[in-house]
Amino acid sequence: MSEPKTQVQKLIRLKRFEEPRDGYFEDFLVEFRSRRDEGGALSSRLVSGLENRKWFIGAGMAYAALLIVVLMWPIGPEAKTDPTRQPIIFEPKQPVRNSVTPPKVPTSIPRP
Amino acid sequence: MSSESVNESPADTDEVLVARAQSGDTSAFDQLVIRYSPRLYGMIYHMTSNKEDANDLTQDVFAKAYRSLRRFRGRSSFYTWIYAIGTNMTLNFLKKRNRRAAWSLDNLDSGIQNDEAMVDLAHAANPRHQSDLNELQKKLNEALQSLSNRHRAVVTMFDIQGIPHAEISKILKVSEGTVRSRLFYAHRQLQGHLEEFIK
Repeated sequence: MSEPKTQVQKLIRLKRFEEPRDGYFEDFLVEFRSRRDEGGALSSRLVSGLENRKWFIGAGMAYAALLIVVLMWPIGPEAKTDPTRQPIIFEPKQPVRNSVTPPKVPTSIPRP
Repeated sequence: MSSESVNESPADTDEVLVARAQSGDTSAFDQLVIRYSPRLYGMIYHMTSNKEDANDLTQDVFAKAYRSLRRFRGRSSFYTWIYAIGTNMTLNFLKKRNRRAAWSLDNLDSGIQNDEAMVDLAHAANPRHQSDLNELQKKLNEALQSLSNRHRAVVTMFDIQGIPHAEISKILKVSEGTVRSRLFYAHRQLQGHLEEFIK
């Protein structure tokens, strides 16, 4: 460590004597170990949980794939030509009462 | 030290301990914690000026280092690597704390006024003010907190912890010139705050 050159540096260097209580770093290590063990236990629980669920996830994905195939099936080229699959359009047989229809204009003048 | 503690062997270099820890030997990592926690805690404490924050952050730094250890390729020393993690995490923490804006200088720690070494050195630094150590410590903390986080980082590492410029530049990933210039600026600013304690 180089010697402080200025008064400011000498004063600031006094701060290195601020140290935690005796035994602090032993307790620090104990706390670290306990946190690490908790973290390790949590991650191993997560891993084993995921391993148990992998069958459910696989089955779910297979079901989803099957569903997609079924939904996509009618949209094939034959669906367009099949008349039974054409959209049904409802047309009214009688004109709607309130509808405004223009008066009939005679196309030819009748002779007397 | 507890009965579970690790007996540190001086023959175990950082490289050996890191290699053992990477292969799953948790006691090797414990030795690294024993070796570096005092220095790392000191750096974080002087950056935050708060014991609880320093404790939590130092724990988080070692936890992160432990999780990332497999990715450590040894391009830098373990010491530089873990110091870089510590500095980055502390700077991020301070950014959030400053944003909350609830931080007050009343939260600064005190408690070294009875430290004999502090008394002697304070006397050597300036005999006229030796009686008012409380005031000196308060002023020192306030002066440090008045610096920007980046300036405080270099002052902490160089002036308090005695880390050379070259090492600080590796930790902070800046040039040595930047480290020197930050120190120059910080000292000038500190001089203004500590004028009454300087002859």
